[in-house]
Amino acid sequence: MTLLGKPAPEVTLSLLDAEPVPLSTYWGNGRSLLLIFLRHLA
Amino acid sequence: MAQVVAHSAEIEKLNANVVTIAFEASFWAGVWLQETQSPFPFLLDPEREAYHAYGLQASALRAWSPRTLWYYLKAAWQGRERLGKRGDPHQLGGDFIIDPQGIVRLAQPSRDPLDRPSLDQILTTLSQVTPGPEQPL
Repeated sequence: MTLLGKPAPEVTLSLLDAEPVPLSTYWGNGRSLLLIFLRHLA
Repeated sequence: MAQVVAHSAEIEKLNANVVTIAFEASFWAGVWLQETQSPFPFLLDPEREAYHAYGLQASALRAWSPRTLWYYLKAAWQGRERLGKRGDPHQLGGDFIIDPQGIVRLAQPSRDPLDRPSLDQILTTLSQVTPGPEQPL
């Protein structure tokens, strides 16, 4: 299953200070989003 | 990641935000941020809700592929990597580009830990999906 061409899943995550933020905050109003999922932080 | 950080100005000119997501405790996130000096927003996903929603899997077989093992051996030999345990080493990452309308235009779940799109591919996709300043929104 690929997400290519489909609406990006909307998920609410948190910043380091625990403030919740929807992922959709970072795209829209003419701006794209490069989303980088990390592996373990080694 | 280092290449993305090094080209952050170029990415900004393409009207793109960059966000990194990790699943580990905020302590390790702080360590990672200090080590990488990443200027981008950093989000935590301890339940891996976003990882699952974006189709990113955990796989011991793919996480420890021969290519990955060779990379870590070379890096350790060169003194670049510590092979100590830090988090779940089997969770794979991935890269996605979402256009201003919220549509996924690049979807690359990593097939192994070293599988990431090239910087050229990222910049090319961003230039195709994001209107420039002279283009209508």
